[in-house]
Amino acid sequence: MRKYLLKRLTFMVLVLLGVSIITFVVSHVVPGSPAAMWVGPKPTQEQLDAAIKELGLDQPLWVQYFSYIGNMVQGDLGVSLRTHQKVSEELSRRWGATFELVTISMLIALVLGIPIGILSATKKDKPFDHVSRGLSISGVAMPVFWLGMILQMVFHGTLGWLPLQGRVDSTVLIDHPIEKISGFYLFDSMITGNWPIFLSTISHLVLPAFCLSFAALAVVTRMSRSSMLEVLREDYIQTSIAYGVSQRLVLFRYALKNALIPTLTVVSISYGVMLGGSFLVESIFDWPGLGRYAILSIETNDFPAIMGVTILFALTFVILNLLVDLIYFLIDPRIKTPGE
Amino acid sequence: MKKSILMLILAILLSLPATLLAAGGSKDTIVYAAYADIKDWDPSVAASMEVVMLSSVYETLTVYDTYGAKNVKPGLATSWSTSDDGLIWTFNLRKGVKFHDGTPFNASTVKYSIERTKKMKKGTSYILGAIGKLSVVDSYTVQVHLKNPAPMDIILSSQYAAYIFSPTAATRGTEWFMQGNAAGTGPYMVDSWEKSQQTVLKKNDNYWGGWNKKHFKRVVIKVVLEKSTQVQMIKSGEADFASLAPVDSLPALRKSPGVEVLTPKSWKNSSFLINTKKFPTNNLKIRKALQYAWDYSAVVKSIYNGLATVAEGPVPKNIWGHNPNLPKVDFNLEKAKQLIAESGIPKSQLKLSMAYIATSQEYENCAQLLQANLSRIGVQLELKGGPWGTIWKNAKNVETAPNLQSMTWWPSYPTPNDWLVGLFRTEEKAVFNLSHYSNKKVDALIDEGVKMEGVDRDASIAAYQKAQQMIVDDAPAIFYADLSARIVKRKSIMGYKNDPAYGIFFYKLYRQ
Amino acid sequence: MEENINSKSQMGGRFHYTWHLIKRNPMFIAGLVVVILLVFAALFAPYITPYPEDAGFGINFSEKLKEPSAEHLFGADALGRDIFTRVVFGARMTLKICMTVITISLLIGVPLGLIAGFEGGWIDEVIMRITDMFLAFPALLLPIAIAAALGASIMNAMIAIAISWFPWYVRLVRAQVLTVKEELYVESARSIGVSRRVIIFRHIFPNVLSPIVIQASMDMGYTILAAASLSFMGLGAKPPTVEWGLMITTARAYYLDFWWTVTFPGLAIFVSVLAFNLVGDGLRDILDPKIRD
Repeated sequence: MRKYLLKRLTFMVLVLLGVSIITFVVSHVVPGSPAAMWVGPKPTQEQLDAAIKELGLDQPLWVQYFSYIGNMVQGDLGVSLRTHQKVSEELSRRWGATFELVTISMLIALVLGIPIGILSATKKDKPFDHVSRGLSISGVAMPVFWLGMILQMVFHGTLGWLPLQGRVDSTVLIDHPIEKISGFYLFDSMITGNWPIFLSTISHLVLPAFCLSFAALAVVTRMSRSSMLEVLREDYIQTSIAYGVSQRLVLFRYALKNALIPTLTVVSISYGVMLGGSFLVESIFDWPGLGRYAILSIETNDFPAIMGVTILFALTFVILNLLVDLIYFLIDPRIKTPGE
Repeated sequence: MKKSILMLILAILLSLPATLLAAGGSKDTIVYAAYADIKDWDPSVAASMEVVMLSSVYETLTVYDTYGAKNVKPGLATSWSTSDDGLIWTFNLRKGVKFHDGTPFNASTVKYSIERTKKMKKGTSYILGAIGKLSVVDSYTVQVHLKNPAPMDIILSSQYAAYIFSPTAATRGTEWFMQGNAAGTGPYMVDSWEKSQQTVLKKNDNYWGGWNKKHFKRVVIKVVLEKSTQVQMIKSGEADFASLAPVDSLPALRKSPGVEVLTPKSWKNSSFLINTKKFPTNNLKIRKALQYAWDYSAVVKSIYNGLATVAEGPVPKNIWGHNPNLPKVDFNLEKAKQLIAESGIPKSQLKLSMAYIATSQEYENCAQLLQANLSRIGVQLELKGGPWGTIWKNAKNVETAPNLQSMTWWPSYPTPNDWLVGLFRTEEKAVFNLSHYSNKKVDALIDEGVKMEGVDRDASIAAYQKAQQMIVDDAPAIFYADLSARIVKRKSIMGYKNDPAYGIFFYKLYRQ
Repeated sequence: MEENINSKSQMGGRFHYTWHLIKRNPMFIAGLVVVILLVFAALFAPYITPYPEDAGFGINFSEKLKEPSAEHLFGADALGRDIFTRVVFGARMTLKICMTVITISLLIGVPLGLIAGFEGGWIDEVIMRITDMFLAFPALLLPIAIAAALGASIMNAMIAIAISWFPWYVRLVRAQVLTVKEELYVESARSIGVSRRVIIFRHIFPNVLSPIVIQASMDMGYTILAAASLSFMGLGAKPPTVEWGLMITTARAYYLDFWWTVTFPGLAIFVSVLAFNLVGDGLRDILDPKIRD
């Protein structure tokens, strides 16, 4: 086990290094003018030259890379060319926004998906099943940015039920400032009893979270349904039911446990998909998170920000995979960890 | 059980709009939807949209008044005079003014501020280039010593690089400012900065201008990056100003109850610079042909939806020094075709490229329109939209530059030389002269105009007007639009008076 | 050898069974019909649309942003161009994207997978590590990075997507090769001395073909979504290309007032992806022997 962990950790570091090199080269090779971004709209040639020196752009690429890595291990990720703020500070601030969004989306996918899937399996081929299967199939086919726009048009434009964008209402924010404990508005506002913020956050989360969760919801539903169907076919289940054990007990005891492992797989894959989807959803909903930050950085070729956000994403993803694999092992030691 | 919980949640959510989708409309607070967060908080450095905050938090010695009898009004200075040779300007300062941190405003604070900005060399500090040093005569008199004559009264009214700030604060350095701090003399102080979300200003109770009229107590500068969202917010009243309502939403906004769309004159203009050194646009007839292939009225009416007027030459029509007698060019495909034939360049070589900022709908639509029109006269146009950083880098180098380059320009202080120097004066290493245009006679006229600006205004104007004529004859650009300011606001907001030299002063506004 | 005995009746039986499977799967048929419609639309676009010039230089300001009506089924965009026409023409780009991406992915992925699986040893290790590195990037990130690096254009976007997707084919092919490698008859063929190349083509390739076809058809949908997403972010198609993702992002500034400018292109994307997914699922049901039994 320990050997396995060590191997995985080494691999993780290698992957991150690889990612950092690729991203560094890519962001520096792209034709652009980072110095231009740094100095502002109407610079003079002297200001441009000074900026190039200040940003270290006159050094050879490998020197720049190593000084970047050197700074990174000390926690200094540089300063964003676009906002002039420290990248590390921006990442930590925006991470909370994205993480909250993605977690709520994941919860929606699981909390709605699993029951619907299981119910679908028990009502196989009835109308409920057809509708849920239809949604499943649609969910993975839908372009997430289009879904977001449609949701906005319907729920804000036509019905006026939900807010258009942002994390929280600005007037509410001024009158009831949030005490930053974790960076997750829901958590922070609950702990401090800041109910106006709590409610405002929920109403602002509904559309973006639902939009982001839709594809995962589809997959979770489908997978719960199929694993439920498989389980229902098992002999020992049939036997238990024949013997009169309540269907509900059967479902709970056996079916759910067996559904857990594939669910975990779906969760880990979906998390990765959602991180990618967050780029698009955060743009549409003006959500001040990492996805939005990544797109703004790419659009402006803000290479310190691009490096920071890419490495953070890669790190999150890799750690996530590791955690999931460890959980597999914990749940079912029968699963051989590779290398044993 | 599950169903009832779902019902409960739904009920809460549906009741939220009433309580929390707070439409603005408060007499105390005004909401401005900004298209970006504030980037540079240091008043010596800022050169971009942060002016929306800076102009309410900091002040300048003088204030430009485009439509007034006298162009320059008192600000933090009550009066001023020049020496005979124009090299020493004396400013008499307003008494009884304090900075937000309590430091008193006086001559040494003015000296500190201006010299700091000049020394840091950031942003548009080059407008202070003529200054040698400042000297304190007494607490309320400061002198500006120039290396060569320059219109200091106009220069120090600029909304960039001319702010006066508290030395006590500024010695803490740019990092202090960047945390969202400010120390000016203006009517508003910075209350809070929620990064990437909003900046809140609150009224400065000790403001020397007083609070005896109707004023806002709070200004919320909200970051709304999505333009379509800005439009919805202005319609619903959630925002009182939309900074960047898209051009194509203007007709709908004009009809929207409660919304007012103003398009007053500004000093921004757009042109497509034509590469004078790259084949085939190095041929004068081809350049002139391009000017005739541009559909000026369609662009202004249907692409800009009335947000622009047709330009006349390199300098906007409404700034002093504009030459009103420049020859006019209009949309004439026949003439364009004729000029192409006269150029002697065969059709197979009529392949041009055009670069523009891809995120601008206006540029993109103009580009596609030109492409369509050029195809009708046998010229192929390749579109190269991209981010500014990339296209600028390519444009600076003649080999990688396109034949046509989008350019929007505005002056750093009220003067026509900004366009002439910035865009058309010879540059060994191109910065913004992306036509790679070089005409020594024009250079001489521009230099003459600059020299005379602070001394003999009429001579200066004459030189600038001659320069404009020569530039137009050389056709280094398609001069197509004088842009209007885009003021999209709620009808209930009163007190807005446009001046092309500035943006919005929240202090002057109130809600009906 | 054994394959020739009773081949005719076996073939007939197999065909019949396959046909039966197809008939039983209405979703597959529905998807197939839509895909055929898509191809039809792409091929005959100029003849079935009311304003074919609007897919090119047909700028017409008097029609600007008109609502859907009899003249403009899907309304008009900011340059007065008919959206229905442009959606139909967009099918061309959609199909081109699918074909190009899958082809490039296969061209890179299949040979690498074959080599990795067949050679084994350190070559296999190296190829697998590189593949893992590519797979470590969360879903859209790598295509975005590559597209940003190469510069925004639909061709570069296609290359970017292909580069991020080929590792899956490497893995797929390698797994198949490994399975097949253990089959006895390969061993016996080798022992007889049949050349490696023959083994690959005769035995491994046909077995690998089926999973590749299934995977590729399921991937078509993802490819369309990825390309549309890249165009939406400004990293893909550029004007005046007619591409559905680009049409949506162009209208991003004003869609809340002009709903038709994004609804119909988005619908086209959705329906196409759905169709390809259904076809892919259906093919898997039909072709995959594991499920059949």
